[in-house]
Amino acid sequence: MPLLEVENVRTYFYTTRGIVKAVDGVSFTLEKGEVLGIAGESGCGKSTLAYSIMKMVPAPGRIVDGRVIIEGIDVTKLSDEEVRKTIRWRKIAMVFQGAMNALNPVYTVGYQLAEPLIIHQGLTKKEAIEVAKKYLELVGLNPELVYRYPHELSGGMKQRTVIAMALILNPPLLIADEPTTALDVVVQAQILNLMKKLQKQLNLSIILITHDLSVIAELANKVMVMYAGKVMEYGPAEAVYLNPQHPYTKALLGSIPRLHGDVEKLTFIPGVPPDLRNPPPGCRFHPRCSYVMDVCKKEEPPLIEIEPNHYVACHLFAKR
Amino acid sequence: MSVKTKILLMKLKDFWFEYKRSKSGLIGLGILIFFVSLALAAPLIAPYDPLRDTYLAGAYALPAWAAPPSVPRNMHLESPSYPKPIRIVGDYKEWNVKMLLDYPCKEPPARMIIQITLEYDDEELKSFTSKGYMPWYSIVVVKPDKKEMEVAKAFIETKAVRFDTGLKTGLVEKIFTMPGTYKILVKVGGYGLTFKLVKVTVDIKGKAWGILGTDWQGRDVWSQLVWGTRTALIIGILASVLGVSIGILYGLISGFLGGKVDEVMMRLADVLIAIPKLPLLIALAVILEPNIWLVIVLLGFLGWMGIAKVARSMTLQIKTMQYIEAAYAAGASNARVMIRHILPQLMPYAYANLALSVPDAILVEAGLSFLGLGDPRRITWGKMLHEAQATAALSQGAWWWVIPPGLAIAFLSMSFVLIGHAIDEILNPRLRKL
Amino acid sequence: MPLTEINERVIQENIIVAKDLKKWFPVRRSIGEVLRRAPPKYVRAVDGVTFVVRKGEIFGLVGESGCGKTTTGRLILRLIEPTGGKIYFSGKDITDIPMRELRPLRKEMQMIFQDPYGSLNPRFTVFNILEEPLLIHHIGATTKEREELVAKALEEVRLVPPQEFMFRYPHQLSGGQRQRVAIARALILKPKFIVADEPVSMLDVSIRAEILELMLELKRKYELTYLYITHDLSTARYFCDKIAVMYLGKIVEMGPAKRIIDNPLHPYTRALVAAVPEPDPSNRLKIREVPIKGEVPSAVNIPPGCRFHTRCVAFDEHPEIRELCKSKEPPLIEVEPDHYVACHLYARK
Repeated sequence: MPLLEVENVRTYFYTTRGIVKAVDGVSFTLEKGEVLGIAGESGCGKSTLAYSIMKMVPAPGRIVDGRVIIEGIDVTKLSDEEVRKTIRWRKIAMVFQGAMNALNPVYTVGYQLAEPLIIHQGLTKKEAIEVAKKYLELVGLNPELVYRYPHELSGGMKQRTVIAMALILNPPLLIADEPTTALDVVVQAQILNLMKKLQKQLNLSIILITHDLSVIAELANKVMVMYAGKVMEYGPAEAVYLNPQHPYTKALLGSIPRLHGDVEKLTFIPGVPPDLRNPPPGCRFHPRCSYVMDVCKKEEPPLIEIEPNHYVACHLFAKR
Repeated sequence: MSVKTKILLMKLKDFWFEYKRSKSGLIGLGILIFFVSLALAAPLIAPYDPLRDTYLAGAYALPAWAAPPSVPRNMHLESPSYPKPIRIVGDYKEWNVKMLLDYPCKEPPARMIIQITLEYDDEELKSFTSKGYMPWYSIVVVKPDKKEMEVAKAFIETKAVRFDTGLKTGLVEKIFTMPGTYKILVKVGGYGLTFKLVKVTVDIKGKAWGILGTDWQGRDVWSQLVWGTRTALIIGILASVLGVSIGILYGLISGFLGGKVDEVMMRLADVLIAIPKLPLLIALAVILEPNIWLVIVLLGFLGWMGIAKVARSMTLQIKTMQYIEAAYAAGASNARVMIRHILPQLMPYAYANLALSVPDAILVEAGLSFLGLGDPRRITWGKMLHEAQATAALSQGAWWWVIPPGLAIAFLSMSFVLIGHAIDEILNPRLRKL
Repeated sequence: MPLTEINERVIQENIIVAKDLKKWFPVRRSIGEVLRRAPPKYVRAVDGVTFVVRKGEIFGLVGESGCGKTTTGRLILRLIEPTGGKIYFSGKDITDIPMRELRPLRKEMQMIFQDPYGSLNPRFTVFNILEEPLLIHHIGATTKEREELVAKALEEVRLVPPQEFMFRYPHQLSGGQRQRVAIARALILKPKFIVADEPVSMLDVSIRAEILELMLELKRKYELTYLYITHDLSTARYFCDKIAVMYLGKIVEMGPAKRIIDNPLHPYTRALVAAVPEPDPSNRLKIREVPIKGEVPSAVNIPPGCRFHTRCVAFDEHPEIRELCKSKEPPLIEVEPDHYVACHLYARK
């Protein structure tokens, strides 16, 4: 049984100006020890998807359809209370965007690490601090940092601390939303190395969410490309990077400047992402697609398996 | 410029749309509109001079609608013009004017004034009076019970003879002792060809009159209230505008210059905050001649500090924004940045503060007037309260003189507070949107 | 180019020359320090930067946050006053000239800012934003004339039809559109030189290429010169002709963009190049070695000698030059034609 099954999740925001269909029918599975990278630009729904998995969608949003099953338990059917007690931090932990700024400045690092242990596992403060020290070591920090305050740490150290906080209750699944975006490139490389190490050491399953396809390549063995709340392409990392099929994926990969090799002209995608209150009919990408056909404007393309485990939602392939 | 006006109209429409959502703001606006209409329509709806038109009715007259019919109202009788004399003997003429007064009330009126208007040639009459022939008049009142009472008898000395029972002399109570038809007989005797009786008028001043009755000098309280609205609005708005203008500029400059200048300016503001407004104004009013312009200027110069601090905060914040840097990169001068980029963003705070500081000005002025230190030439609500208190109006039962000005102060202040809060509320969600 | 080579000819032949530019920000001292008469401390954001930008070139300032590249960009335009050094624009010394002389020069040197939302006044319409430079420099006598100039500027950045965009507010535009407005604003005065401070780092990945293409096209059309500031090495390699890598306020390596990235010589540049991820799925199977150690020191306490030595892996590997690295700042030396490095490993040659 896979660790995580996400089945046809739809999360809509009921705003005063219309219904925003942020996530509109997303499905995937994740086995234990697998890393899934969710790629997409701002507004594609990837963060909302993460919140939906944790059942943390802020009002006026709601999960309107679908199931999220972690270790056999359907999260969508649980009450908020149950999710808080049993799922969050214990089965699924999340490192948010800009999390290093979310560290409470008035408490020591050790106290913040110890808190979930005291609350969820009933440890005493002394015991919890000992565990905290071990986790600081795990993320490559000096265990004596438990006595320091967040402002005394650098950006990279804070990010490691936040990862330690996420892992402290040994969740099998870690969701990381743009974990390295605000960091300098050297620190980013160090954090990615850390995540690689932790993944191997703890057989951790990770969902890595970012717009940066280069970062996803560093960790993911499965990649899902999202656009306007829908899945455009989904498959093993090698398949998606080396044999991309969806026009959007191809354009995204082509828009990344490379550090080595010939300097090639970058591709770009004309137009702007759609307003999710009123998405375009048919394929949501069609107004910006260079391969658009008539059928794209009318019908939504289904997700077709073009190679084993490699899925694309595009009418170019639906005909087969 | 029509594009700019189009944009402006759109902004106003949006603002009104948001404002409409605040019920209390609409109530406040309604009250304000009421008062402003009152102030604007003053010459039409309150034709009496609030300070000088005395004895329009008796003193402390109740409002007409609040008094039961048993309370006497004003009455006015006029004789026909140029009545014929009843007898002429040589140069002597005598008139006998009979006027019927249907007096319905048990209670006597406040006052009776009888005016006899005459015409004569001064030279001619002198020729008679120098020989001892004096024109005379007499007033006899025949009560409903047929009892006769001679009220006045005297020589005529002017062309406009006036008999006044006066107030609280006890005379009018002696005359009017019962309801019924009273006959007022006015006899006039005069000498000379030119001597003519023009007219006799009888004025009964009642104890109930007008929309809000009268004060201790029989002046129209409603007129006082309405004209007082003008003063309240003028003082409130002008003092407020002055204060906010100073405050915004002060805060803008202080925040913009920053550093030591900012520190010094803020400390100066702090010193001024510590000065208590009302005691200072009292002291000044005692020394100098009380005058609403003095009050307005002083209130302005003592009320700017709050908005200055807000303006300074906002300026400090906006100064760090990249579009300010972009403006400098384009070559903008400091003045341009301050006026075009920063100042417009301070205006919403100015409007809210404007509305909220009007009640303060009104109340301070009312306080000053109440203490008798207001401008003696103008009527204000505070002055009404002052006079009412000084003449112990409440102990006379004259609630119509005390409650309306108090309520007016309260309601006008409240209306500005509601409006100010409504504007503030609109500000905050807008900030979040940004 | 090292300091020593700057002479009058160089100043006249190049559009921008920065000579030993310094910007030190004073640090507020605590009461204790004031009482103890401790020497004043400074954040040495830019600590002696010398470079030359040729007309028609795209020159990149590359480095991580805190290296001083953004401050350098602002110094060149004199948006911040330099603490030391000299700035030459089109052969003229603009370091100390008074505001009224500088203002007309602003027509020729403009800036594109990083934050597409923050750099546009949210209460101004697009028309107001683009009109402002014209009003400041008295270009266009009537509103109608200015409207036409604004429309043309919008057409240049492909925001068409211009009428549709002129009266919108920034919050009604997408990030890419806002950045185009920022570019239009920089162009409307027809400058010769533009400083672009991370113009695409806050935009979505697929839009960046479009904006960069637009900037290249405008450069060709109007013979512009760019100073391009970024932390993204890949973009710098794609966009820039020459780059200068900065660390803690100084240039550590400078030369043609591709050469430096393909063959980095300075240990810091090597670490930077090694740290950049690439969209190659096989990368997940290996740990990416980044040859650097420790954390960035505070700019208030810059290490003595070579300021990079506390993090330098070469320092560990070459004990023979350690004393030199700890005590003496390495000068910028031309190691290959047009390729300069500030490192004692090469200074010997």
